[in-house]
Amino acid sequence: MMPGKTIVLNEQTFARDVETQAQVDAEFLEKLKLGDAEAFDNLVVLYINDVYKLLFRLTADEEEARDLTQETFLRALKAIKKFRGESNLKTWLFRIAINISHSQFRRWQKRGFHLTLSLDSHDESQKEILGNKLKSSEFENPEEEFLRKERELRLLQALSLLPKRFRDAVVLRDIEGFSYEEISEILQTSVGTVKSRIARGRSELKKKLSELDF
Amino acid sequence: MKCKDLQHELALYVDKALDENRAILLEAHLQRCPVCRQELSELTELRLELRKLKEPSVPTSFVLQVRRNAALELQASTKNRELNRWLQFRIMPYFVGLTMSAMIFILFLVSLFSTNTIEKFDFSIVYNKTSKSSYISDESVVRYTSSRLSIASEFPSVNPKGSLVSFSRSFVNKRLNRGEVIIVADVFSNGMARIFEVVQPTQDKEVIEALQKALEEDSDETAFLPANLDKRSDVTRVVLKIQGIEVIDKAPRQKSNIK
Repeated sequence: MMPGKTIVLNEQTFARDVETQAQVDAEFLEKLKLGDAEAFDNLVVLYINDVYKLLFRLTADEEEARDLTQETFLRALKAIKKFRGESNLKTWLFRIAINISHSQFRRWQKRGFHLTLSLDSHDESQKEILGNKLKSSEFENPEEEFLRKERELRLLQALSLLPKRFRDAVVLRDIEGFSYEEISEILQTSVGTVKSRIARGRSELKKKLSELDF
Repeated sequence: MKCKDLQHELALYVDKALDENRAILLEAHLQRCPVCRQELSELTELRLELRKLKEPSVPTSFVLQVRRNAALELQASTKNRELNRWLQFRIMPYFVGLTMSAMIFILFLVSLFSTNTIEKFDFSIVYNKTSKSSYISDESVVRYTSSRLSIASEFPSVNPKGSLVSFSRSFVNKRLNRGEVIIVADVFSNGMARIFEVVQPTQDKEVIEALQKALEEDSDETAFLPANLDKRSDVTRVVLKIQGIEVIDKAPRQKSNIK
């Protein structure tokens, strides 16, 4: 039996891997800046899920989230030349997405829209009453499935009632799992402010949930 | 520690973001306070619920749509960039050249009008003036012109009692001590003249205006004698050089003007 190759994993290997990754990232960024179509397509494929999920949590509306996701990538395409690589691409894209959602939110406020989520509301993409969708079962126990979905809807509704600055912070921390430092980069504010917004956001969220219970 | 004041710290404690000393104090409080323990438990549960939220799925058709739109946008921006580059490399040099030419032309026009403002003078008025017959009765003038007849056709005789001599005496002495005025002028049949071009000084408008005034004098004291006395043509172009010089002699110092 031929002896197999021995793979040595030590600090040197790790450092070399990090260095290689940094070089790959730098080359990727350079291609993006040069307007390389393939590189930009890769960027979309890599991050579209993350961007869409974030925007869906922030807007609680699938169609709105899709529009904003589209806008985020188009704006990223125009702004990539100014990106200096001080943060990673995901953080940068999230910053663009949040800024876009803010401007959209301001447009809603001007037009007098209010975010509401109801079991009777229609899911435009499926043309089906949202309550009916809850009947579809992924679990063996339909009742358990129903209760889970109900809790989730209640939570999303409570989130949508939070002031925007608290909602951004709570979504980024508790749903997306970013660190305080990363959130401060995305929201372009200090870590102290981020901490304060998360703490107040969670407290407000609890209040909204208890209000919805009664 | 009051429970109300601990809400903020509890939220940070859940994230393990509270500094060590505050965390020790908070833990001590939590051991004593069931209300805050309940609060902590609810916060922890809330975080878990948020983490467990089902991830929305992104429709494949939507992903394809975003990729296609991004590619189209990129293509459009590349075309714009190429157009801009083409404009930059092809049109810009012509544009710069054209602008520079226009500027030079404008400067030329400005300089032309600024130096020749005096030439707004009406030529026909001077030219059509009739010559003064009174000169013919002045014997000294007749003798003077007779002595210059051989050169008078090209060098018109300056009127000894005329405005040009007065100008050189009164003005040049004050302004042109060791300096000079050089002009090209047209001398007309009636003894009047007009400046055609100022050679020097081009900037001293006061001197040139005074000189122009002297040349246009239309009384008996015209700058030059009439053409019939010099037997010269109706219009003669001359170069006039008026210079202030100092004559040093044993006699007391005096200044004189030489044409």
